[in-house]
Amino acid sequence: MYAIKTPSLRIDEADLKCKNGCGFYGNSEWGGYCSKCHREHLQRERQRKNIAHSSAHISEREHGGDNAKSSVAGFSKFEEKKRQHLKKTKLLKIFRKSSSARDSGRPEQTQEGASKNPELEKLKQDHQELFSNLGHRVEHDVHKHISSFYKAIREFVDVETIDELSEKVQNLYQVFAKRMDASSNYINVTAEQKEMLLDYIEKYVMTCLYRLLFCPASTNDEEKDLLIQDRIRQLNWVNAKHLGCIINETQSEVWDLVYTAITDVLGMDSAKAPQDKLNCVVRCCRNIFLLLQQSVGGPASADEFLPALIFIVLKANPARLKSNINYITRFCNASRLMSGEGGYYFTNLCCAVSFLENLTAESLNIPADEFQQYMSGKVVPPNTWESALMMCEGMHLMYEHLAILDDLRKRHVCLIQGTAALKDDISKFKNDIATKVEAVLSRTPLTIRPKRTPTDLDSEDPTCESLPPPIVPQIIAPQVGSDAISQKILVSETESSQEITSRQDLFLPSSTSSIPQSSSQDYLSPSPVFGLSNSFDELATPDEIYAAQESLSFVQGLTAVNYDIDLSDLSADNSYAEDLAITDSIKPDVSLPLEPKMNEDVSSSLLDTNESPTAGGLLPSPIKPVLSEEYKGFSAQGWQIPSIPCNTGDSLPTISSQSVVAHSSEPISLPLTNSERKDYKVASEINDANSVSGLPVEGSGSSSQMEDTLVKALSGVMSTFDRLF
Amino acid sequence: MTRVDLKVVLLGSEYVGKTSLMDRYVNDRFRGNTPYQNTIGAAFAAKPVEAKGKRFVIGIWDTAGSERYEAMSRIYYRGAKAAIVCYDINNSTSWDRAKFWISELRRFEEECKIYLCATKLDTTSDSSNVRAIKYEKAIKYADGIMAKYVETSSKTGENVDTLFNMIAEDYISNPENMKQVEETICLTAKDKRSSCCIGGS
Repeated sequence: MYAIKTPSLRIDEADLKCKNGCGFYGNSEWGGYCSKCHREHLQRERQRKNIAHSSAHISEREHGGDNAKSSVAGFSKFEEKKRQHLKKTKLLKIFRKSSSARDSGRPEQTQEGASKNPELEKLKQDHQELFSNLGHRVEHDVHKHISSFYKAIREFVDVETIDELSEKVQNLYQVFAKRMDASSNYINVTAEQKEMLLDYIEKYVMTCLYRLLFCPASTNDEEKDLLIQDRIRQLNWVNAKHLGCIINETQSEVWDLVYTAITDVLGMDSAKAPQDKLNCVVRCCRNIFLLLQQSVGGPASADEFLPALIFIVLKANPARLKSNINYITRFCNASRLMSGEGGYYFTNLCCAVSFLENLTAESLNIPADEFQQYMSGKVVPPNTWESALMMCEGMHLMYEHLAILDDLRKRHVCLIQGTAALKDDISKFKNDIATKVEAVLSRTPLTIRPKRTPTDLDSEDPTCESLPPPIVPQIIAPQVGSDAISQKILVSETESSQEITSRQDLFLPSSTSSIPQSSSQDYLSPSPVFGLSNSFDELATPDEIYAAQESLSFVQGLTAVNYDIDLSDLSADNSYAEDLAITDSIKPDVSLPLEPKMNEDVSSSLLDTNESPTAGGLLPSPIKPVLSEEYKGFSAQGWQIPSIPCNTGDSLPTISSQSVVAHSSEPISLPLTNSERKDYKVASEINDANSVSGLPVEGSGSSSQMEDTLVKALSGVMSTFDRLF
Repeated sequence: MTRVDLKVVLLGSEYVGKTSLMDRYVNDRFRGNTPYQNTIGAAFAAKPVEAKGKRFVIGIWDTAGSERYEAMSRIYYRGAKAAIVCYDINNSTSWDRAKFWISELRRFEEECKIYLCATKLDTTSDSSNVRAIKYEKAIKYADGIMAKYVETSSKTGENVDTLFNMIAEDYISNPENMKQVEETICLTAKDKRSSCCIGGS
């Protein structure tokens, strides 16, 4: 291995020396001069140019002056002077115009570079956090520096050579680094943050100036790009074996890494800041190390790395390779580039490029003529076996991919089937739910409707209005009063029903049970009394009264409904009826057992009242007499009260039965008329007749109390009616 | 991104043990025949060092030893403050190559300090193995080119730290370098990081 020498790569020493013969080594980029001589040479050239330029101007001006002088003849000296002055200013103007034209072109560009660039916005956003940590002063200072930096470079872009610009840029990096150390603004900034700031400035300014500084027209970077590109294209037959590169070509993971590395190095051209380009190189190199690890079976060293990098560059043939390398060399922060990982990889990249440029038959260890044949494309690379292997690898990969595709297809089919099944399930489920819901709905309306009827009851106007018509015609005179009453009563119904609604259905009025009726009548009758008092006074004729009675009877039929409600209130806690019932029955024992009875009986009777208003009007009549009697007994006068306790105690059932009998036999009107205050006495008499017995003192006391509460309650109800109307 | 103050280049033929030397110094281990899977590459390493009370970062550049790439090695030297020229103590060819590297260095990077380094010293402890390059010959040559000579073994770690510490001290002893380091120390004064990184890892 050590025996093989490749002297051909070493160029003759004389060729390397500076053209100036100063003894230092020259460089082709510097026209064969060493760096020092190159700079001197450039300066000399520029001076020569400047002299030529200025002399041209001078001669032009002199020429103009001569013209002026010659044309002056015959004019006064004053005029001559004036004209000369004018011409001078004209010339000056021309100069100014040209310069201003150049200037006006520039600001547009700068604006384009500075404000319209979305990359800069992104860069700013990326560094937002950093600046928010560092504070406003630092941010302000950094951006101040950036703008001055930008202006400084901007100014000289067209004037100076790229190397001078590079020097300036590097100087400005250093200036900022020193400024960060010196300025009090940066006292609290850590070293790492300072580095980030430096990076930020570099990225920002270079992104702005990218167009002007990357591959500038003043250099021959572009030619070199094309040269190296062609060269690499010519060398495309070179394979890993030629380079002594250990890449396990048959391993698909290795190839994946090769492709990622190639992608990385290709990405270098699209990055704008030198640092980002450098990062692309670093990423590429890291991938190369990864793939070498796969191939070598352990950590790779530089011995394996460089050939691999050359191989990657050869296969990638990155666009504008030379321009990118030069751009990074010139404008990446030198302190960063010269050392550190990025610098190391970049140096390797430079090595790779230089190797490819100077590649000869010897460096590939193949005979020169063979090399020539390959280069000219006359002969296909000899490594047919290898290419076959590569082909096999390609086939292998293809089959692998086909297998993967097959698998994917199968999975896809499964997926589609699954989705179809899922769809079916969903629709089935939907239908099930729909039918279930329908079933539930068809079941529930029964329960729902009763709930709705209460609300109808609340607003009972329609049903109520359907009810009154048969009755109203009968009432000739007191239409107004009765209507009002009925309405009021209805309202009372609604009010009370609001509380009870749910129970209303359950607790229906029972014509048979006496106590509820009585209580209800206690509650109901007073209201008509109050409401009708005036109108009835006016009605003297028995006919009218009768008619009124009729209407009232109907009303009371309705009230029976109300009264049911009240009963339900009984079971609930707070209601007038409750008070009444309790006081009426004095012994709670009695009242309680009665309730169940009511419930049992209720349903039928209520149905009657509810279903047919007419029937309600007819039927209630038998009931009402009882009610009215009892009512009077309780509510109207204190003296009537005694009768009640007796009833409650022993003869309640009998009373109820009696009342029922009486009602059925008696015409409807009477009890109702009784209920009118006119007939209080009659009622009391009846009461006496029915249940005359000694009044217990307590009973009277309790009944009076009850009356009071009742009156209060009723007045309350009335007031609410009033309010409602 | 690590800031590196001292750039050290490793030169030498293939398989003389440049990478092992670096690995021994940076990670204090020897790879031998059992490769470590956790490092993917060892071509570049940065390690913070302290010499004469100054802290700075030493960056070590491994280079490709293959002769076909020797034309590019000049790119590697650029800006290097120190170069470790390695040769295999049992291989006279590598010794010749080392001499070539040294002449190259002298020509292109005059300021670069050269450290002649014999590797695989451990193999000479076996009496049956006769070293190709005698100590006297090496030290004589080193003196002649104003270079320092060290014999190391990456396997045992012998003299490896000595070599790098020597480099660090020589570097900082130069007042110019000292100044530079102090400047950068201002930059990194608050930054007491002690991380090291190996290329690619």
